[in-house]
Amino acid sequence: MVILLNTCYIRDVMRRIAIVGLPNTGKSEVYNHLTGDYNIVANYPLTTIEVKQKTVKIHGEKYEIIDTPGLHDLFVHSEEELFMRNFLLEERPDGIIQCIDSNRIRLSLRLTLDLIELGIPLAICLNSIDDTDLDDIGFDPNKLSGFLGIPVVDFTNDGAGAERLKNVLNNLTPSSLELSYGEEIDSIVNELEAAFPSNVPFRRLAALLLIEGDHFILEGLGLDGRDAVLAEERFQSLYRRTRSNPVRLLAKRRALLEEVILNGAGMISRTPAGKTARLFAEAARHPVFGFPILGAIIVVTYLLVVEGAGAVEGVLSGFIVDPVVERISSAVSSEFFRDFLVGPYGILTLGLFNAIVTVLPVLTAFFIMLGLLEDTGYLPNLSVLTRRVLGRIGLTGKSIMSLVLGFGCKTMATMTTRNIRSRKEKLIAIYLIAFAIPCSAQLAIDIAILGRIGVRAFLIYLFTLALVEIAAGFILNKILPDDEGEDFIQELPPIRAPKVGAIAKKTGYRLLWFLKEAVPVFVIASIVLFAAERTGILNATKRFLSPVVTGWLGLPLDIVEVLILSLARHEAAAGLLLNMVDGGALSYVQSLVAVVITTMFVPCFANIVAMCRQIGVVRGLAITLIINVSSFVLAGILNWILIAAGL
Amino acid sequence: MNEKRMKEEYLETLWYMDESKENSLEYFNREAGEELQPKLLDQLKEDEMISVDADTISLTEKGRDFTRRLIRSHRLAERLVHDVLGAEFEAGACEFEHIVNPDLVDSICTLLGHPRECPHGMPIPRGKCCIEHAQIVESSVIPLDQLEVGETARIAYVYAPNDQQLHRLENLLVRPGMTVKLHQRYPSFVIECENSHIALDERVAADIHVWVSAERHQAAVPRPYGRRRRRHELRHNLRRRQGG
Repeated sequence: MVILLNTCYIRDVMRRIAIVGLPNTGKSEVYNHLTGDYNIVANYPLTTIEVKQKTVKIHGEKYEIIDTPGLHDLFVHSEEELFMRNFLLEERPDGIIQCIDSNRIRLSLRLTLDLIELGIPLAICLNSIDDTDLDDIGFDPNKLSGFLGIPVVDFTNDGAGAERLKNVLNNLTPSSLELSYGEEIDSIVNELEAAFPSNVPFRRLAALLLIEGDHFILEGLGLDGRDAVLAEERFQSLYRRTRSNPVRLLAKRRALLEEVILNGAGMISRTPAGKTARLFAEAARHPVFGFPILGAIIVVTYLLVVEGAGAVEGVLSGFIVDPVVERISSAVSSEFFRDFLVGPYGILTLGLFNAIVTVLPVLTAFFIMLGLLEDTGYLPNLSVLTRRVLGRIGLTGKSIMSLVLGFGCKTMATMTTRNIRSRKEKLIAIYLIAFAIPCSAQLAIDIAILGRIGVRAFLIYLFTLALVEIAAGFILNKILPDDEGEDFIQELPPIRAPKVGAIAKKTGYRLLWFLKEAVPVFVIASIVLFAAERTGILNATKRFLSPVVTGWLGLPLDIVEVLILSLARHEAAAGLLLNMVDGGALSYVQSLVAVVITTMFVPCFANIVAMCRQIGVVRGLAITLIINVSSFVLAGILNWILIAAGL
Repeated sequence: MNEKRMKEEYLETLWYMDESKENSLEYFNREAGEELQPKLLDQLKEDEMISVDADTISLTEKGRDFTRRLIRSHRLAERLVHDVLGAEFEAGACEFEHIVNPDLVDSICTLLGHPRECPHGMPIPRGKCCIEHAQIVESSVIPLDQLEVGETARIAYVYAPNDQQLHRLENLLVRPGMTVKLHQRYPSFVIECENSHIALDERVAADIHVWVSAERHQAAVPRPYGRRRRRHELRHNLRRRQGG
């Protein structure tokens, strides 16, 4: 019995494998293949911003596979970047898989050097191998493997690559390569290493990082006050002894080492990306051709969402909704239950049918388009085009990319602002993301609503939101105290031809998440509204808000329901609004004002939480409050302008 | 080594000490070693070049002005030997600063595109030519933003207002010795480096210095050094000073 328990115990030992690599090197792709799970993949940096893990059994062994956000090296400058490194130092995974984009091998070698110094068992996984002809660049994975003394796997996207990776998982070892950085640096490293208490882990890495000026490493390794001071003093005296700048020397030596590794792997030349792809990339960010391309993308999206999804919806409601509603209306005699099921706030009409028949086709069309843009790598090129405009409103650095990502998911985009060093820029970015940028789901439904009343409304909507964002940014830029602004350095991913299978899969998962997360909200919301209506609470709220809603905004009182729903989920609110517009409850101007206010009003709950995490609860809530008040003021102004314009 | 040389070596040592925020007499004595000649120190004190008390020693204002020129020559010489001749830089440069005249130093500085750091990464004191952006001698090194679209060049130096930025560029392989191609200037600079495309703003582009290619150098007509650019650079320097 005891023996049995023991073997069980041994069999249950779980090895933790972290997948790390530079931004946009296919970590999530590898994670998905190893775990059978699905993490969103896209052709640009910052797709994964939080650690995700799953336990799986591979060849009878138990592993925890961990997907991580992009990492350039183990050197950190700010508290924000600490997160990933502390994860590696504190959690100390049993093995690391470094993903490397085979088109840009040299770029990843700095991280490889750091990981070798870390001493954790390592394997290298070469991605995008499908796009690269290895013979062309003279690169031989076997040679690299021999040189570094660790497995190097070429990861093809057909399952065979995953199989090769699975085969090396159970015998990962640290690299056998001993790195030298020249006499001067090596002597400092050795002395520093000896100066650390012997129970401190990763001493050699710590010495290297200290030379580079990383002030967080002592704390990160858990050195307490006295030891930290001693190490720091030792370092200072060593530093003074040199007449050169060790930071620069170290960088130079690393560059040499990278060269040595490339030579060791037999790499001789580089491969240029495909000609068509390059041409498209250049056109997409060109000052003249870039804007027509952006315009064309918007037009196609509009047509797909309005016409394409509209046709599908027509078919669905003709074949499913109308007959079902008719059946139920005639079959259920009780008025209460009939209303509960298919009334104006019915659980089926407002809840399920609205979600599936009206909203789902719209989202499908939109997500296909979004997937295309993501997988080609088009989006980061927008930052090249918009940078100058955004510079005027105080967004000069990394925030530009965060703002672009806001059109995907505002919560995710808010979380990416943690990399922004300038406090001012961070605050402006967070505010603008939360304010008038519609998230992908909301944008999709907004387009569908406006499509029903005409292209002009869609253009007014785009113009209004852009104006509001620029004005808000301009004001914030003026009133917030200046600090050291950031410079703009943005890596642009290579443009790739999208793969139908990958986009279908991604769209499928997005819709699945929508069904899992948002549909219950639709249904619950319809129940809550039904209850509120029956108990009279809804009417009381409406009466209370009536001066603002009907007087200032010029909207019917029913819009209060939409605003309430906005608190839960924006696409649910937009879905309800779509339902109302379809039912002819709103005029042209009213539809426009309603769409604009629901886009600006109250960022969704997840977004508020993300804001509070980035800039503190008080500021997060203050921003929420300011946004709510301004959305009412601005939507009202829009109402009066539209009326004055005679629309 | 004659006495003048010796005194200059002392002054340089004091400059290095100042750079690492060190002014103890004990440290100086250790650095100077056995060769320390108290007589020379006294002479320097008489000339008001240095100030010495019980346990500290440092350069006076006058001493700093004098030594700045020495350091400038020394580090420029290192740059010249390192960048142009590709040799180990310490050996030749030692003697250099004691010999060259200021005009020659400024010419070398201009030729190298007014570098701001020696090969060890220590700052090179600026000269009159840097402040006036002299381009009488055609520079072999120009800022990236003066390249033509489609032109390819090798990076000579990369400057950054802070370590973090230098590090980011380093990580993208934008570093001395790498070859870059300029793809686009407007609305943002786009360069290609080691197979990846990187978008930059004009400030970053102006801080990356590249070697001018040989054929361009021969056919070179000096680009007008516009007012706009000068204003930009002045602002940039101001920002740098405030930041630092």
